[in-house]
Amino acid sequence: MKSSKFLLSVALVLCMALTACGNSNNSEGTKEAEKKPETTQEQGQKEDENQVIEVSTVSPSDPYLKFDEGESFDKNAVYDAYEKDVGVKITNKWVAADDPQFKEKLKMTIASNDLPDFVRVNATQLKELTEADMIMDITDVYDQNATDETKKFLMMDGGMQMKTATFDGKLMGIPSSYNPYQYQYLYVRTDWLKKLNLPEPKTMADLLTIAEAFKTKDPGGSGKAYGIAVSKDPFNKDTGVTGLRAFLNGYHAYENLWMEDGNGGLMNSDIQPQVKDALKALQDMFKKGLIDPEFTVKDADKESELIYNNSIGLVFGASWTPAQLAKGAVVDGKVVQEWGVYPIPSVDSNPTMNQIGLGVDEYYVISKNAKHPEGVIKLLNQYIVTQSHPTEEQKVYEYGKDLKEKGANYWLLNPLRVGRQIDNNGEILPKAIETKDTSILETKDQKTRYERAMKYVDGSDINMWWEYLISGPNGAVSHNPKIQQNKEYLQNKFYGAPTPTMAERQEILTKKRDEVYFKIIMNQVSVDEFDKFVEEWKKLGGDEITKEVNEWYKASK
Amino acid sequence: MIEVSPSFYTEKHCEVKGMSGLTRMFKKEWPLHIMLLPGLIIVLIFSYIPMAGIMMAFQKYMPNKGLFGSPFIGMKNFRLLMEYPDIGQIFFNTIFIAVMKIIAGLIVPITIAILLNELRKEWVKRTFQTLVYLPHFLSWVLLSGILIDILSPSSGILNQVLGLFGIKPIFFLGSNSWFPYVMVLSDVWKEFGFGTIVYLAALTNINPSLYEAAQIDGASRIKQIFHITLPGMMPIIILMLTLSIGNVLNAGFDQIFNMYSPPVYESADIIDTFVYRMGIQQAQFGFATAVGLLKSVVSFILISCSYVLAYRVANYRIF
Amino acid sequence: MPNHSSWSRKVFLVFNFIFLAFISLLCLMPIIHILAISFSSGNAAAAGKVTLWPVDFTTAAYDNVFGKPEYLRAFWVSIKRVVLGTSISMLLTIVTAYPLSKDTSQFRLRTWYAWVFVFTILFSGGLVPMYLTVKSLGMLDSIWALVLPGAVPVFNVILLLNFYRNLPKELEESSRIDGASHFTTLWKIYVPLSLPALATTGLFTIVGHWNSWFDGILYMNHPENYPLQSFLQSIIIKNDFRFLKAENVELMIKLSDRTSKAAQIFVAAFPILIVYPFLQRFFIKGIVMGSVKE
Repeated sequence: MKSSKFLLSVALVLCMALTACGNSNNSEGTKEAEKKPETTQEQGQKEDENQVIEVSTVSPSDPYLKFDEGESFDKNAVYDAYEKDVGVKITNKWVAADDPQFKEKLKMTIASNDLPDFVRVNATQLKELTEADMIMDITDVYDQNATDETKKFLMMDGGMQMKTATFDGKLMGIPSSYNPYQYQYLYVRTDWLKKLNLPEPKTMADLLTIAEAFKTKDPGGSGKAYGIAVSKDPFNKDTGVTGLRAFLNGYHAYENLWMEDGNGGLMNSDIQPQVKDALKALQDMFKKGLIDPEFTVKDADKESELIYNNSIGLVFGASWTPAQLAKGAVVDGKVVQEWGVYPIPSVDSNPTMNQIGLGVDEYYVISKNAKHPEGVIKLLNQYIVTQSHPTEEQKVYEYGKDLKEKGANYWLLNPLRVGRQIDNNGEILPKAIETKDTSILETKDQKTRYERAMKYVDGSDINMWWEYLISGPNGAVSHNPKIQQNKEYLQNKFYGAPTPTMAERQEILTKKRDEVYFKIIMNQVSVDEFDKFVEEWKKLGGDEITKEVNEWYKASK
Repeated sequence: MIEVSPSFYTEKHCEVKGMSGLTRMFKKEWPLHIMLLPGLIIVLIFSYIPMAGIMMAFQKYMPNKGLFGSPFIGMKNFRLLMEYPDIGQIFFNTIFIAVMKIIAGLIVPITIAILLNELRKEWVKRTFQTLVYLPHFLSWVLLSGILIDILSPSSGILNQVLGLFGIKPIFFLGSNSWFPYVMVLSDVWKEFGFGTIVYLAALTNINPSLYEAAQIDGASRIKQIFHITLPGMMPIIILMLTLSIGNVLNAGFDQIFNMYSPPVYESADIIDTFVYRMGIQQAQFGFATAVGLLKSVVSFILISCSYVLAYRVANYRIF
Repeated sequence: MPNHSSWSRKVFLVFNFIFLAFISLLCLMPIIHILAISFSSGNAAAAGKVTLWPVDFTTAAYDNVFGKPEYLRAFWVSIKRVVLGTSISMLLTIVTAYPLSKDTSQFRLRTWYAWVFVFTILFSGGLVPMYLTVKSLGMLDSIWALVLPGAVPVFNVILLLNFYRNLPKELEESSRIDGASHFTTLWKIYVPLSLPALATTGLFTIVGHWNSWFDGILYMNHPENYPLQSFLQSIIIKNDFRFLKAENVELMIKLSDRTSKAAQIFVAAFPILIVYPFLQRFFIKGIVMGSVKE
């Protein structure tokens, strides 16, 4: 009796051990699954006569990517089109559900030395991978396989973005380029301006007058009006709406930008006296109650509540800001808030210089172990072709097999995407929308935007109000041609991965900066604290970083 | 066979005399060893083998060279931490917030568990017990939004209530003197349901005949709580305290990260938020691993000390 | 206990009830708030108009959540994970806690073993080596990657061994004298007597498995294999505006929709809220002593 029970128990434990081992059996299965690509690769090699080569990558999916029946990341119309048109078969080592998860998984993939043939990485990873000798020098591969169209496409900005991917004369990645000329604008409730009989904002003084009037006269009738919307991380470049970078720019001050010091070197913008002026102005606004005193804890969405409920009618933001404003401006198919877009006003007679980035923060790199690096360049060539002048058939790259827009976002399936480094939306779109002239539309992006804006114009979809405010006459981009012509923008002169001291000290410099800036704005300390901060900044590593940046600057010239 | 064990838990082993005694013991004890085997295999594979990663704290990790081929850089990562200009303040904030959370996180659930236990209707007790566990399921990203509303000096309900007593609005999340306490209170509010469940389970373990005897002696309800209930829960209380002491350097990243801001850095910046901000600047694994190792060592020392203390003073083994 | 119906006792009971009701209400409020948001219109939610009652009532957010076919698949993965993970973890917790609950006189190496387990909650090698281990075992993309790495919940083991130790010694002794093996004693006496503790640790295990999402993202190479919480992460977390390109603007409008987020949180937490009261049946006071008297 006793022993039988005992045996039973042993059997139980064994069962558990087996379940544990069961996974190793199971793992055989997974291993086989992992082997599969290799066998298909062999097939791929057999098919070499038919010129089909295979490249592997890793991809982010997206909550709004909707596959047609029977399609998936393993097999879909876009991948099939690449295989048919350029003879490159795309496989995925893994797929993440969205972009933030893609980045988490990518860290693991890099750390475990398990790169696919090509992958999109950020600037820091590009430098790390180059140093660790894990990625290929693609200078020659690119030179031999990129078409003239591709080469031209990636040099539209004069070669700046390609330069950021070049180390010691070797091209280590293809910039995931986009248009760097992304400006910020001032958005104002025009219905309130009319109601209070106020002028349009042309100068910083106008802006202050409007903000004060919006606060004191409370045209929205909310009872807790403020002058301007500001959120918790206002100096960060990722704060696309409710930020204060544009305000700084209006005072000719800039956030962490390396600019020419007039003596052939570079200096950091965070410690320049113009910042002090801007902070002084913000402190005055805060004292007058024009800024929500709780802005330090509210993110853009939270602060936007005040915009939606008619407490605030003034906000700085990027060109897409109307998409955010739409949530409060369009209710049940009716426009209930009217907004206007204006260039950033300036504090004096000098025009405001818009602080802009490089237009590239990610790169496509090719693993050292890739068998067919030329396949990656072929994908790049084909993508540019299908973006710039797609034939009817090539619409498959955009919409899938039905070749028409149905909100499935099939464009997300293109594994290697680059964007135009310059766009002329500002010249084309407002004119086209005003005159309803489709013949002048050039790019795919312009056509999409035109169609959306027209839906608002002809009243078929009032929710497209935001596109009209971006692209229509007097919309955000309509201000671009003037900024572009007069070169009223300022680009960071330092690019690439952080210098050694930056890697160690940038954090404390930013922390100290934010502490002082915020406390000055909130009137907790005198504006003269700024001078103390400048000294501290230099001591805490700022001087060292400036030295390194200038060495880099000399070397890169 | 195994001689690594520190002296304080080997005294009793000395009683075993000679080989025959040892074999006899093994004969008697082997089923117990077998029982531990599956668990040991799991922790060996999934905890001890990955611990090799601790080496990264002393390395410049190169993925293509791996853990065993990457160059060693000595204590550089620890120096980077210790030479950080605000390091004293960050350690103070971390320990201050964490210790208050440990204390409050002990007292509140015990009190609530005892009070719940006094409820007469079983369904009322169960309902309350379920409700207090609810906040545990909400993330700090979400709760921070709700707390910002509740604590708002202009429209928050708390300040409106305080206003009835003539107290001027307080910007709880923007004030250095309030911020740490708000963190402690909101954390206790979110997590006390968890502790309450453990202590309620501990209450079931107390022998009801003890209460009957006390009632016959005419002991008051309060007396019963202090002389029967609390002593009965003591092993679990000591256990929970010991384990939470290990958290003295964990002040709660998700919570603070979602609610702090530059004006309250001086009272709110903790080790983990600092490590996070450093991580944006440099994507190295070494620094985060080094800080993690430091925290582990501190926890290990504190837990060992309380373990020894409990054994020496009360002759009680926590685990 | 009728002999304690004194006046002061009654006052205490009333106040105790009111106090606990107040505390419970405090804990219930945010849930009601989220529920109210999930049933409100997008405009009202975005403008922060919703407090505890839906504004412009609509079920659009739920239609949106349940409209995704991935939802059911992820739900099923989560169920599998919870059932498999909880059974394995509970089994391991029960058999691991038993030997460790013995005295040193009965099991000489118990303290040594206990530290072997406790050490694992204090020290960890970090994500990278963990990932490498799981990968080299070939468990990527399999349910085992979610179940086995945390299969020994050390905190629960310690909790349970403390409960075991409080069981009356006589029970075990008499069972051993009757000739029962350790295994029999464990299953026939320890397990039935520690039901409240098992319900507690079981609850923690279930909740732990249900709520964890990061391992799903880390170890699963196809979103089809994500458990529910990992799947929901891709919708709930804040959108990253940094790489926003022209095409993404339309997506952004949909993504920052508070009402669907609220609905998803509720949908994710609901199953657990059902399991909990069921487990409460085992929190019965005095079960231990009742069986001693037999």
